[in-house]
Amino acid sequence: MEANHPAPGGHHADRLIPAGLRRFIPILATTGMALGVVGFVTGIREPLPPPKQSRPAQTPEGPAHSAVDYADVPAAPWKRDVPRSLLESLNSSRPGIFDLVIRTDEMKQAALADRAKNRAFDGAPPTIPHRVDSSSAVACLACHGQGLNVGQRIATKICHPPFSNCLQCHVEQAAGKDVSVVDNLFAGLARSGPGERSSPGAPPTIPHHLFMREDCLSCHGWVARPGIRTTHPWLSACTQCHVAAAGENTFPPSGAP
Amino acid sequence: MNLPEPDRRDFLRTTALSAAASALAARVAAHGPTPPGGTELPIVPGVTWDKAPCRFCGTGCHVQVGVAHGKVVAVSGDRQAEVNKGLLCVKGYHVGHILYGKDRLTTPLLRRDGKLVPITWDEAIDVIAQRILAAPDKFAFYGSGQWTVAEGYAANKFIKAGLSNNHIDPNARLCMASAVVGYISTYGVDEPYNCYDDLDYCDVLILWGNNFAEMHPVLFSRFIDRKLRGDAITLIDIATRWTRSSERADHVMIFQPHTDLAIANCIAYQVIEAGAVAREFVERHCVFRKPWKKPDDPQTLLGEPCSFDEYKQLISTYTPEAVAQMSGLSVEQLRLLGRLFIDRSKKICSVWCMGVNQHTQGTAMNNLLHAIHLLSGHWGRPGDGPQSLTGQPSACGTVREVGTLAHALPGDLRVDNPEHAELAEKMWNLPAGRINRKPGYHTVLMWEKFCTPSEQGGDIQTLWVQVTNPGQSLPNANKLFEAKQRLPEKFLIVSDVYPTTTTRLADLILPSAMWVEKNGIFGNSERRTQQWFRMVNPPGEARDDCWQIIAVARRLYDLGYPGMKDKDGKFLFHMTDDHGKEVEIWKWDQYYGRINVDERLYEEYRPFTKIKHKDVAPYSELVKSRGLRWPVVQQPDGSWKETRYRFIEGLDPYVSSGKGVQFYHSVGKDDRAVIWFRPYVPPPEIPDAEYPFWLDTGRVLEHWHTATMTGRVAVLKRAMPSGYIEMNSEDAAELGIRNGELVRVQTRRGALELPAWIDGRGRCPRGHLFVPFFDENRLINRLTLDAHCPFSKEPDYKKCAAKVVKVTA
Repeated sequence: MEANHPAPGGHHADRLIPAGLRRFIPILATTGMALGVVGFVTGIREPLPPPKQSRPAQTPEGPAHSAVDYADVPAAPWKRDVPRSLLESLNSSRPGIFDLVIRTDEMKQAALADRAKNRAFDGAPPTIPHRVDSSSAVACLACHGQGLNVGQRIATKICHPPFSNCLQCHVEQAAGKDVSVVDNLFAGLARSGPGERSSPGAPPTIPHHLFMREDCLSCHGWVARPGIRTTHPWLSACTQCHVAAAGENTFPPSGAP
Repeated sequence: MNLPEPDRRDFLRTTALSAAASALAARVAAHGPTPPGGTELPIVPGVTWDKAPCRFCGTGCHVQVGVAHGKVVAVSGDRQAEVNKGLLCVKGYHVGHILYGKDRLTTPLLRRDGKLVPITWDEAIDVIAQRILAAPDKFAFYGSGQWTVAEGYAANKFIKAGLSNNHIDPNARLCMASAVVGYISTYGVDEPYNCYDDLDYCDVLILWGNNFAEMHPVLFSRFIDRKLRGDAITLIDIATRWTRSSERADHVMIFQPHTDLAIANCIAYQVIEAGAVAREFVERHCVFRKPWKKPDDPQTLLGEPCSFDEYKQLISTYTPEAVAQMSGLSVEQLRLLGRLFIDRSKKICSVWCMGVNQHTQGTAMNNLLHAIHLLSGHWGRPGDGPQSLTGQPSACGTVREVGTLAHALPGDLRVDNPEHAELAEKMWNLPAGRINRKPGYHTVLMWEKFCTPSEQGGDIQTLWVQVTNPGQSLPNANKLFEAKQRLPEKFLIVSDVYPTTTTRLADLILPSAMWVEKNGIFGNSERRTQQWFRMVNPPGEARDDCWQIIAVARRLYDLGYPGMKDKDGKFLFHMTDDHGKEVEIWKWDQYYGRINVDERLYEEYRPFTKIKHKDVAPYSELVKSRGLRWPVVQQPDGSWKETRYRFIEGLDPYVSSGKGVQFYHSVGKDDRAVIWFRPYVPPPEIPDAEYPFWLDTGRVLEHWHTATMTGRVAVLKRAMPSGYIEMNSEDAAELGIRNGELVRVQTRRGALELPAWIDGRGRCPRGHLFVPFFDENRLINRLTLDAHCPFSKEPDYKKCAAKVVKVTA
């Protein structure tokens, strides 16, 4: 990705510059590139003075981020703070629609475990695993509208029609000292899958309800955790083959004592 | 049709309203009750689902509760519920967790030599009965808007019919008493005439001192999501600080605290100035009143009649220019509000909650909001009217309708009205004179009397608290709660589910069942009565609050206390099974089983609701529905029909034919609503040189009130771990305070240290501070003021004078 960045300095310069000055070109070019890299890195970080700290109860964990080589940018710890415009330009890891999708059981279990990490039970709205500095739906949808995949990080595509008040249901999680005192014995419903297959190779049924999970591509699309991605993204009418588990309608309510 | 002019106009109005009614019916037919996408729930082996209203706020969302192996394992929004249409807020999605905090109270605890020791239920019931027997008139009950209808009804009957004592008041006094008195003094009867459907129909929504996005998030979404569907709607936020609601507002108007009175009057002024008074409507359906004979007299609740000309004269000083001076709004902002009310083509919905109610002029402010809507004719069309919101799940159902207030009886009856008291005695089959005709102590007074030494007139000796946490929620808590520590003769009983700030000082703690661990009924903000069944067992020895009351009543009966018998000598809570055999419901093993005590108490209470035409639905109908809005009236075909809009012909079955609009319980018995003049009156405490800041308190999205429940849910606790003080960035800079630094805030009543949050979720204007009250380790209510509205007795938590300094280590 970093290779796509326009190289600073100029390759055409040597033809335009008098021969006597050409021996300075490597020095000029190196200086120019260095300035460019420094400028770039500086530009994409939040303005330093004054350092904006928007959570009183949150103390930064670990050491401050130090500058990194350009080659290390993808793994740099500050990349989570990279502005949206850059994230979009980096969105090159989206696979092609006909690319081979490799899925293994291990990948599937890993994906499901990862998915369960920020849900209190199956069906709970996931919590937000990153900092939120703007509460507007536009800000959320910038990444989650279509989904985004940067390196190992995935911003899942929104799975329900957008509402305007995202933070009504999805909340940020601060790792504060106070929190460890929460001792709760609630044992949430685990995931409801897997779906049933009428015969080996038959399309599985949908084992979960579809309310608030209307868009299958959120979890199963190309921008999704690899282990539960569809193997056939070119087919878009999911419910043509996958049906909701044959089910009883539980209304009127059952189980009333 | 050749009708005389006023009749023709009324006919047109009635026709228009009927058309609106048909439109409503059509909408229901088209969209409900089956929501788009079907109603199926996750099909998981071993999981059963059942409906319940959410345990938290007054919105009254319905959830589907998934239960497996006797435990709640999941919660889903209920798509058959009209209130929330399947959506919840983050608290609602995690409501199942509140049952499973590890420190649930599971056994009765009695304080002996300063230490809490476990005792049996039998001993606990005996301790309470003996305390009451020793001085029945010095016993008080402090209840809650989270009491279920049956619990509140049992408590009310226990104390008023059983002990001839009216010292019962709920925490809802601190929350919506001003709205109650506002409704009663305007329409003659409590509770909104309208409902949440207004949020679907209005063109303009005005928030009056109400952070709707965080306090009633599902209702806020119900409105704001209309923008996504292309509706041209406008949100106006009239507030004292910038909040998440302001972020979505088209106009944010930040005003000086307490000047909302002047702003409302300024709207009335402009409506009159523009000749936009809804003359026909006002002449036919309204009267004017002023709060005194002449301006220097003290204000009274029922005031004096006044003419329109006089009203016009009184309001004439509230010009936009004058009000701009005092309120901090610009003349243009005030003119914008004026133009909205002058233009009758747009439907305006005003909503309010604590900003207006927790106000030393709370009743007056409620009166004014009704007044500007009535005066301008923005009243009566779906989407066009004023509506108050409540913060607790059954503040309406239990407190307002069952009347668990110091002056009230079920069905909007009053103890100090002899006819009312006699009627209640008849309905309860009591000997004449059993009900004490003197109102008991309201909340602030009750706690003051409890926290005052007996020899100095503190004549409440024993106080029983159920389903609430006054140690954290009472204002000026050092005076009204902490003082109890120094009074060993006073006895505090607390029924709760977790250790709280209140149980800290309790002499006896009773472990209670909560939410779906018991049968229950709530009544939400829009007159909707909602029922649920017990789905899981309470932990350990925890038992229903209602059972606790009945068990104490029975112990008193067994000890020969005459008040626990009716006229015929039967126990006040006498219940029989299908064979006419008495069921000993005071024994826990018989409380659930042969009969549904919740249903029996509710059906015993239901006839009271007919007295003021607030007929709640039969229990059997509630079981089938996601709540029904009263009055619920049986149709010729035997079905039951709820009422969305009261007082309007075609929509309310109790409006006489041909009336169009009829306020059938009006103050003046003339079928007219009151348009009140209420002047601006300065607040009791104003920032000065020593205490230069306004201190405001309130809630946040993730926690519910004192966070005894939400604070035990990891997702919510991590989202909002601790209390903070919100400050203006320039004020902070002047005081050398940086984000996250510890600050000491002090008022004349107490001091507290908190981290500062600058330019965070909410933003204060200069000179203003905000502290949420959820954090049990940072009790801001020790600093707040106990001054209250003279009529509603509701304290003002929203403004007092404070100073802040940076804490240097």
